[in-house]
Amino acid sequence: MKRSFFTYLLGSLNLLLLFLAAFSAQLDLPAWLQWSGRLHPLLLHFPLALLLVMALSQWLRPLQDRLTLSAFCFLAAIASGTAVLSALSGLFLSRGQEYDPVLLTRHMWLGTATSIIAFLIWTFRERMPRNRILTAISLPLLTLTGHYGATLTHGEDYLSLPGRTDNRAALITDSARIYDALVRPVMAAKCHSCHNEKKAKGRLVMTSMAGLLKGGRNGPPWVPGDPLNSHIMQRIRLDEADDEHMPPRGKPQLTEAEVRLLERWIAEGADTLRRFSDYAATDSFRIFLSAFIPSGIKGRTYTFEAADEKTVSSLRSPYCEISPVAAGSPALALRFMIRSGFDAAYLGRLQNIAGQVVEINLTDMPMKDNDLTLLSGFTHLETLILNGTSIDGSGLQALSALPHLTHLALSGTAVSPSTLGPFLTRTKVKRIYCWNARVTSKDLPALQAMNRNISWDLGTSPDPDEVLRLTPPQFVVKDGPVIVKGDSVLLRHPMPGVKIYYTLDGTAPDSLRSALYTRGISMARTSLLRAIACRQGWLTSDTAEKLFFLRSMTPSAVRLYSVPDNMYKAKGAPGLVDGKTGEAVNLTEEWLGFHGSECDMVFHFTRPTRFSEVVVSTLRRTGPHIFPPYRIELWAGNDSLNLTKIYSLDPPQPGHHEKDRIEAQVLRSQGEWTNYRIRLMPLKGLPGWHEAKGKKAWIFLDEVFFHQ
Amino acid sequence: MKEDLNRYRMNVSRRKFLASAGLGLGTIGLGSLLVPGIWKGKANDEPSMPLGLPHFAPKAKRIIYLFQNGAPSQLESFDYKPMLNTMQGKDLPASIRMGQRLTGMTSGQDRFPLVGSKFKFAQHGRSGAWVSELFPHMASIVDELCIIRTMHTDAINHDPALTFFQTGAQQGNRPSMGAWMSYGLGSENKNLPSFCVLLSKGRGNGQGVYSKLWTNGFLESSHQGVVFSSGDDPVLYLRDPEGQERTDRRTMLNKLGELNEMAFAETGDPEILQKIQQYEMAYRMQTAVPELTDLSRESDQIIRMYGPEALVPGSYAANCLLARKLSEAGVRFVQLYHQGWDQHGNLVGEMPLQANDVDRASAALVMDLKQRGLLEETLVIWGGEFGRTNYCQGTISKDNYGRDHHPRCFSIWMAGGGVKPGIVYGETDAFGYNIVRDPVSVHDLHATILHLLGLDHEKLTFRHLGRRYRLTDVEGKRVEGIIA
Repeated sequence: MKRSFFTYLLGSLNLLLLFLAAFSAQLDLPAWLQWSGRLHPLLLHFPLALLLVMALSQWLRPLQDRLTLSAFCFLAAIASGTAVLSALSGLFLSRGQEYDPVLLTRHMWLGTATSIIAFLIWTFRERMPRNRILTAISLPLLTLTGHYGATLTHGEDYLSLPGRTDNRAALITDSARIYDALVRPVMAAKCHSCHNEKKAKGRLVMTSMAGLLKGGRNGPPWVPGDPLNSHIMQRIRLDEADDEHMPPRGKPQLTEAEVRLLERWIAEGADTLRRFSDYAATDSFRIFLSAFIPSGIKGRTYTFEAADEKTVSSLRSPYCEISPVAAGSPALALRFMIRSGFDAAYLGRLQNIAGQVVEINLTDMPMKDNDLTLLSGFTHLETLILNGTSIDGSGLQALSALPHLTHLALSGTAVSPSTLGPFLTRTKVKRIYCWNARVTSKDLPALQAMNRNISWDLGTSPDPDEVLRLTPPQFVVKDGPVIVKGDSVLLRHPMPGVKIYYTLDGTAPDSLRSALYTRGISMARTSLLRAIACRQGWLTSDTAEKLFFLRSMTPSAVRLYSVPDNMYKAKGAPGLVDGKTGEAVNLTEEWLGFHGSECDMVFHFTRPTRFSEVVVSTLRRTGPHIFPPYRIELWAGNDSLNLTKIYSLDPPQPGHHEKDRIEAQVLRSQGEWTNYRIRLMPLKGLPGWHEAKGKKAWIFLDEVFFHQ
Repeated sequence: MKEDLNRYRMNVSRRKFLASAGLGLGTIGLGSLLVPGIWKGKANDEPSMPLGLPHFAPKAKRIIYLFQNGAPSQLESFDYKPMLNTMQGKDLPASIRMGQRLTGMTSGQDRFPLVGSKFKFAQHGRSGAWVSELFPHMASIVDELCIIRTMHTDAINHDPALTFFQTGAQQGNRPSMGAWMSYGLGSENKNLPSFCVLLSKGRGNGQGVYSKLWTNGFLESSHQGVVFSSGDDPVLYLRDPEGQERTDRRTMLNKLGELNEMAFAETGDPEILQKIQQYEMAYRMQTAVPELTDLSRESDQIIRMYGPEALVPGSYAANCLLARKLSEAGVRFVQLYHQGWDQHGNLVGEMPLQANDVDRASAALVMDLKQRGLLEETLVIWGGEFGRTNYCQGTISKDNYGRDHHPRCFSIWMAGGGVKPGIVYGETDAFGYNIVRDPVSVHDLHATILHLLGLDHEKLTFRHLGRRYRLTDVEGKRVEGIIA
């Protein structure tokens, strides 16, 4: 066997290692060498992985040919080299740190042994039976070394399962000690991972009362009653960028509320024995503490570690909200918003908090099946809402291994029994919502056969035999019901596929004889537009109706010869020709009202003018006694003192309560005149069918139109 | 607090200080003369729970409150009292009325003739709850509902009762329930307001609603309810004017933001920060709201479920559909009001119209949430501000009657979000006038609702005018019997 320079170097390094390990207690290192210890976490992964690979390759594929042998030798060189380096750096790292000495010694000697075995593998790299045994020995050595190393850095319980507990048993009562109930849990969550018996950083052990009282390198953590001079508060209050700040950068920080709690507790004497009941209910400290006591009934609690708040806030965006499910809970919920801002790659960037997310809501996001693999790392995910996304279910397989996923909402997606199949057989999901997808109730037995633990909600589908009534068409009116001759009135209906039929002569529209609406109805005279909506499979709508007036020629003067009721004077005489009409509901704006008295008015034009008709807009609301006038008279003449009656109209009177409506009273006119007088006379008394029969009737009018 | 003080201290120039010091010091002197000890504030008087998060993991995340404004009659909906039909026209015994105060509308009446429901009742679902024929769709989902028949309130007229229901106090000026939620829970979707209000009007006798019902009261103004209008633009002025590019808008807002920051640096008025936030939210709403209010993505099935009125903006059905969409998008509290339930007279004519307006859409909303897997995290509440009397207001005619306001008992229902489905809670006497078992006050209801949302009603406080305020004031007990 050829002994190269490398072999000699490796051998002497291993000798050095043995020597240093034997006299490690006496070791005093220069600073730069101590610093090199920081490479330990980087280096140790090389021998770890490579020795494993070498053992595997030997057992799976014996080194028969030249190629595998030279590959094996190459790996052996790197593995043995990094093994000795990582053992040395580990030795340097352990100096000046407070670790549990028993664990440390074991880790050190196991590491040294691993390094020597690696050296031997290198030396006998071409001796077939011997190196096979050596690699086999290296495996348990590696495992043990790694285990003790992990225990040193991550604490004794690093292997325990991330389970959850129902904290209902841990209700806080009045007789509980304040320290145990509120203060210790904060320290347990934020301090114990570094300040415990195994890994007492700064020689401070916070897990036991004795350790706290003894204190660390800088003495006890607090001075009772004096938070300002308490070491623990000083460290917590330091800027996070400062090296002395606690907990160190990158570790979960205390919340503002926890800091306040600790500070106040120290200020009150840092008494670890006092109970809530030792303070009166009105004591300010007791009141202060009550805010920190979780409510009687707690929601679910989670025991996994919280994500770093800095990381969480750096990941927030206007398109994704990240929020804890409750105050103090490590569990996070994600909600994605705004379709146009969705970027699936963003899910990939969330891997740092993937272990904390229990709920993701992706409703209506353009999420594809391929993107679902990005969710496979969210190991604590319980609820996933994918309603309205663009998936067809073929990507769900990527999520079948998620152990806690129980609620899956797939409504409004294209998932079908065939794409769901592979997912269903392996998943732990309990409930699937699958309304409006490609799954029907016929598919259900087959789907349930695949996984009996899942209950399905396929939603409600409306009764196919139920025929519903359409809503009436809507008028598109910009400036109210007064239009210019030739203007078009527009109609619309919000439902696609609806046909609108209409009449202008006051008759009821139907789908056979009435005109079909296409685009705009132009009106030549005052008309009542009535329209219905029709569609296959739906009942024809109720009739929509609206009275349209044509704009009038404006008289030069209007005079009222009778006084309207004090409440309903609106804008007086000028308001009758201002082109503005009122609604049937609010009567004070535009309507002139007369209670049992007649309305008498004269309209004056500068030149004798011929009109074909004069239209008076009146109101009918039988409930509050507003009836059409009993009689309307049109008088005309050029001398305002000497007018003659040219037309008289008795509008039809209602025989029972009807829908409130505005009516156009059309008066025929003839001849050219300068003055027109209109008289509206109310009913003498309400008709016999009305509850208030015999009482005075109202008349209301809001506008008068003169058409040539 | 200390940091805030330090920051504001920096804003005071020498001139400002001298100008205000004279008057200020004088006032302090006078104050301590008049009220000794007034300046000895309690040290460490800190706010309680952290804000913007539930105090504990909640059962429900969002609320849709279908407020039936005007007070629908419990005797024609969920509280079946056949004895009233057999005693039709007989006087309400004084031993039952027990001096209950009357409204001005019936105080002049010399007798109180009992009147039974004109509408038939039947039992429905596995729970066997009685529901009247006016509400066939609600009856069909009765196993999803938690019907409370024993609500009672302190107020007897609409405005105070409504204000009490919405704010926990009859007088007004307190924050609305939705504002408390927004304050306590924060937003799930920062592109939308966390408290939205939708209004609709039925064909029955109506009562007004006003912005004081969705006010933020003494809370920051960002917690105020945002009213969605029923026109073509649900949120007014959201569209950019013609010819304005989105980038122009952004530049304008950036500049405005700078100016506002300067104003804040000068005066330290926290409302300026609120204003900046609101401008930014409005900008994001410009994208978020059109996506939401676009009904073209809704299937024909949905329109059939909610009814064709769901396509008519401003109708109750359309508001229910919009409420589902807003809630689905993370709006904490969607408050609907449907007006027109005040049937003092012509109850037989008006109540079917009102019921017809709301029945199908309310049931559809519950089932729609359910089939999306959202009912478990959404609490739906249906009900009015009080009940109606078991006696007739005015004279009973052969086929019509009316009912006056009745605060002693009335029915509401809840569904989803942590309440027991398919139960009927509480019992009223055979006259439907007094509560026999399990009363639920408005404060109790508030405490329960807050609890379901993960908030302790005793810890959700705000300090104002020298004392802490709560939605439940100094009362309120969780109704454990309805919590799942």
